[in-house]
Amino acid sequence: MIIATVTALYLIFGGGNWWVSEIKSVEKIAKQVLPADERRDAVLDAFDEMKDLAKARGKVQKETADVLAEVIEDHGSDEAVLREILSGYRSDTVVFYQTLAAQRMALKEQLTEQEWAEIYEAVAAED
Amino acid sequence: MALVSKYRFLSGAVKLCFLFVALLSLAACSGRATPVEKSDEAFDDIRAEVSSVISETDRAAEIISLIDEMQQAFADAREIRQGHLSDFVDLNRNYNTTQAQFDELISATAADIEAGQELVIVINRKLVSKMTAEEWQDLNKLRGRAFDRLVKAMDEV
Repeated sequence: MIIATVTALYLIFGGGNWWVSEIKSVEKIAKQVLPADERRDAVLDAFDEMKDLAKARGKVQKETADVLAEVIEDHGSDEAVLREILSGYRSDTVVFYQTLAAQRMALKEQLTEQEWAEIYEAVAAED
Repeated sequence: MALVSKYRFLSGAVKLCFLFVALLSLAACSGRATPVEKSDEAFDDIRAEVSSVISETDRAAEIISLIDEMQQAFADAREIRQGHLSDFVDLNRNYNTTQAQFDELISATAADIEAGQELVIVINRKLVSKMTAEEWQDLNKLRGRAFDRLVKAMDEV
């Protein structure tokens, strides 16, 4: 169990479930606020892309956990190998957040400030 | 008439059963462990496992002290992560947030991840040095629900 715990500690910042949960809340409100037209379809497609990204992140976390557990399980494992895996994971994490931010900036271009406020104020009220 | 009385009695019994089930459900809800409690339980399991595998009291105490450090590292990391996620959500919700503000948060997150991983590398190194390969494997065989519990505790923002 120690090995599983150490693995969990290394990957602590990795998951994407929180973002899937956030987007689902926003998507529900956006469907109510935006008129049913092509622009709304494009916005909903953007939400789907965001959810897909976050789910893919969860897969990366699981795969990394499996590789890490194998290395940690070996009592005589080389720390350099561990560092290499963690370094790759950190890079992936940064790319994940950068992609999220880029997707969000692209989404902003599709909505007016008033629509944005209406949607997110409703989301905040549901928190 | 007797039949009606019988069914009246059954009806009362069913109501009582419903009430009992409802009370049980309420008790279960109020007793639901918080993320912190879940992670504390996981670390308690690990300490118990260490005590069962390491027979020398002094060495077991040293290892348990490292487990305490891990628990603190986990609690700190959870708090930091929640702060980052909360900041990301806040930035996202503000229409006027700039790319530069996201970049700044992402850099801070990356730095915290690296610092957290370095801390765990050190604790891991100390743990390995205090155990034989056989003991290390024995502890791994006792792999229980700790990982799932910790991951769930981490995800509950």
